[in-house]
Amino acid sequence: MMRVGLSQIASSMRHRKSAYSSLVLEVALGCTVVAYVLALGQGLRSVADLPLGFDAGSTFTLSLEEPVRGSIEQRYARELAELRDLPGVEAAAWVELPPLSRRELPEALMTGDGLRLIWSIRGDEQLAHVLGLSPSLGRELRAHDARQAGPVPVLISSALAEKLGRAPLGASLSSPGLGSLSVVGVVPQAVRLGPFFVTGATDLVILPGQPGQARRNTYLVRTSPQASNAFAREASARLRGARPDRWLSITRLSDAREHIIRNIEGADLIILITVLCMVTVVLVGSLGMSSSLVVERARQIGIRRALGARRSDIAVYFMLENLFATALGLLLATGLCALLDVLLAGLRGPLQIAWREYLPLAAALFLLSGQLAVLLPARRASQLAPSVASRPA
Amino acid sequence: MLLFHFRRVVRSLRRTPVLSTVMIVDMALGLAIWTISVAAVSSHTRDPIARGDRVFHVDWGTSPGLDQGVVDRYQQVLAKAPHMLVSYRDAARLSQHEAVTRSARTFTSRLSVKAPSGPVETAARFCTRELFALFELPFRFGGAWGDAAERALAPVVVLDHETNRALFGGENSVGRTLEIDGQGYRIAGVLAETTDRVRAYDFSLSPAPAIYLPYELFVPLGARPDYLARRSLHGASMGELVTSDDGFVQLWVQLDSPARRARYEAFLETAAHARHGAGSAVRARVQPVASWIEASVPVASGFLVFEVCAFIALLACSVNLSRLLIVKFQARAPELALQRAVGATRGSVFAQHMLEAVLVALIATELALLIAAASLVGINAIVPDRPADFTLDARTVLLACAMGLGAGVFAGVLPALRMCSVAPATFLRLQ
Repeated sequence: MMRVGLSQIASSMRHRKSAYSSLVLEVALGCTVVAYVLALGQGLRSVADLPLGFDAGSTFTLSLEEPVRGSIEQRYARELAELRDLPGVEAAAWVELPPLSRRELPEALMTGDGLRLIWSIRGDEQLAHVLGLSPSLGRELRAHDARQAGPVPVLISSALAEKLGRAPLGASLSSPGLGSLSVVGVVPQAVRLGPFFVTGATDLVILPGQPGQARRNTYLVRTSPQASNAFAREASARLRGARPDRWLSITRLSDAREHIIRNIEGADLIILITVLCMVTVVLVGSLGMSSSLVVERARQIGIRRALGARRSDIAVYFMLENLFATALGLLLATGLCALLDVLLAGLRGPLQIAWREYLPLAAALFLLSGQLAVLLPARRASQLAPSVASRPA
Repeated sequence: MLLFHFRRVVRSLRRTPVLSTVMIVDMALGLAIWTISVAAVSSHTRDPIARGDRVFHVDWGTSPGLDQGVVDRYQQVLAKAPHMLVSYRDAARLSQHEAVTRSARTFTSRLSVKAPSGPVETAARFCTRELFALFELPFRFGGAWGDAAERALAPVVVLDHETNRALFGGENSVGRTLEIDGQGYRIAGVLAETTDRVRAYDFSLSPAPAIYLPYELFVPLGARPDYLARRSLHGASMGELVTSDDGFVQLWVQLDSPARRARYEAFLETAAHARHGAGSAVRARVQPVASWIEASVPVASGFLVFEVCAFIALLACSVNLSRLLIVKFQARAPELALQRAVGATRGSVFAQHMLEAVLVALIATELALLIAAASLVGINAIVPDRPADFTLDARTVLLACAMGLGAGVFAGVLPALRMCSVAPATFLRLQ
C-alpha cells in the first residue's frame, strides 16, 4: 500500500510540477528563515551569556561629582579613603571608563600576525585588584607607572599574551591609539569589558592612569559578597551625608549587565514575529494548495472510491502527499542554510549562527503545520462520494 | 481600459473575500518582516539633514586597517571611532579657513544639574553655537545662544524636547534657569520634538543629548569628554587636556561648493603634513555626512543578517501569493475561456491578472506598514537602551512600497502567464 502510495505521489507531482515546486520552494525558504533566525537569536544570547570574568554582582561603579576646585591629588585621596571606609568594601580604584559603560571602544595592537583588535581599560594601580586580577607572570602596576616617560607599562591578559608570538614579559607593543606599551605583567584571568564583545573579547590591556582635573571621578569598588546587596543603599546614605552638595551615582555592574542584555528582548520579539509569520504563511499555502488539489481531483478520487479505496486511504494519500512535498522542501532548506552560511560569512563576522541545531525544530514545525493544513482538505476529499466519478471532468 | 480592468479586479477580489483576505495578510506578513528589518538598519544609519552634501566631518584619518576575516564590520567601525576625534587645538585650527562657511566643534559629557524639581544627572553636549544651524535643529521655544554669549562664556543652555518635558512639563522654559555648581544657567532655547534620534553629530550614537552648553564652558566646569582618544599621558588638569594631542572633539564644517571643498582639502593635507610629518600614515579626511555615518555608525551584524533573512521571508510569501493566485485564477478558468472566446486578447487577460496581483500586493503593503509601525513601537518599548528609536522614515516607506510592488509583479507573472495560455475550447465544452 505504501509503495503504491509513493509512486502515485511521485506521478501526481510530475503532473503538477509548478504547484508542487512552489510548495517545496516555499517550505524550503520558510524553513531556512526559521532555522536561521532562531540560530541568530541563540547566537546573540550565547554571546551575552558568556562570563565577564569578574564578580559583577559584588562590583560597583561609583561616580562622584562636585565643582572643580583645590588639588586633584587631595580630592582623589579623600574620595578613595571615603570609599574604602564604606561597609563591606574590599578594594577600590579610580577608573577612566568602567566596564559595561557602553562607551568602550576597541583599539588595534600590532602583533606578529599584524594588527589585532584588543580592548583596554585604564585606571590606578588598584584597578586589577578590584577586578580580581593578579599577575601570574611579572608584576602588578604601580602608582608611578602612570607618570613614567617612554613606553607605558601595562598588564595584558594571557589570551593576548598567547597571540603575541613571543615571550610577553618585557615585550614592546605598539598601538595606533594607545601608543608604545611595555608589558610588565600577564594576568591569567579572561575578562570581558562588555557582554556583546566577540572578537578578541578577552584580549585585554590594562593601562595605568591617575585621575585628572574633572568635576566627576569614577571609581570601581568591590565589596564582599555578603555586603553587596545592601552596599548601594548604605554607600549612598554615607557619602551623601558626608557631602550633601555632591552628586553621586552608584551602579552595580550585574545590574548594568542585565540592562544591556535586555536589549536582546527586542531581537527575541522580532524573531518570534518572524517565526510565527513564516509558519502561518506556509500553513496557509499548504491549505490553499491541498484544497485546490481536492477540487481539481474530485473525479479521480471518486473513481478510486468506486474501485474500493476506503475513506481513510484517500485521507492518508493527501497527507502523505503533503508530507513528501514538505520533506523535499526541508532537504532543500538544508542546502539553502549551508549556502546562506557561506554567503553571509563576511556579514556575520565572528557571530556564531548554529542553524544546524535549529533545523530539526524548524523541520518539525513545518511538518506539523503542513499536516495540520492538509487535515481539512484531506477529510473533505475522503468524504467525496464515488458518484462524483460519473460527473463530467 | 485600465479602469475597466480595475473594476473587474475589484469585483474578483470581492467575490472571494476569504481567499483575498488570506492573500493580502500573507503578503503583508512577509512585507512587514522585511520592513521591520530595513527600518531597524536604517534607523541606525539615516542621514538626518537635507544639506548633508555640504556638511563634512573632518579628521586626520589614522584608523587602523584590521583584518576583515577576523573582525566583523561592527567592530571595525568601533575600532575606527577614536581616530575620528581631533584634539582641542587641532579642532580650533582646522575650523579656521576661508573656504569654511560654518563650522561646529562638539563633544559629549555628563553633568548633574539642579532643576526646580531637584537635582538630575544628564547627558551634556558642549558645542559651538553653529551646530544648531549646521544641522538645522528646529527650536520649539527661543533659539541658540548668541555669539557674544559664546565668547563671554555666559552661563546659557539649550534643552532638548525630552529634558524640557521632564524638567518643566513641556512649557516654554526660555528665560528660566538650571543650576550648575550653584550658578544659574539661563535657558536660551528649547529644541522641537523629533522622532529622528540619530543625529549625524552624535558620535556616540546615544539618544539625543539632554542639554547643550557653550563649547568652551567645559574647561571651567571641569567636564571631561565621554570619549577620549588618549595620545599622551598628560591631561592632569583641564589646561593640559586642551593643550594635549588627546582627541575628543568632533569637527564639522560646511563647504558650499566643490571648489571650496577642494581648497579646504588641500589646506588640510598641508596641515596634516605640518602636524604629523610628511612620512606619517596620517591622512586628512573630509567626509560628507552620509559617508561619515556609513564609516562611523556601527550596525550590529545581527541586524544585517536578519535583513537578509527577512528578504528570504518576503520571497517565501511572494511564492505563496503566486500559488494562491494560481488557485484562484484556475477556479475562474471557464469564465476566462468565455472572455477569450468573445475576443479578449492574451495581453488583456495578462494585464487583468497582473493588475489583480499588484493590487493585492499594494493593499498588503499598506497593511504591512501598519503592522511594521506597530511592531516597531512595541520593540522600542521593550528595548530599554537602544542606540536609536526604530522608526519608519519616508525612505523606508518608499522602499517598502517599491518592494511591495515588485513582490506583486513577481508573484503575479506566473499565474497571469498561465491564464493567458488557457485554451477557450477546453472549458467552453464544459459550459
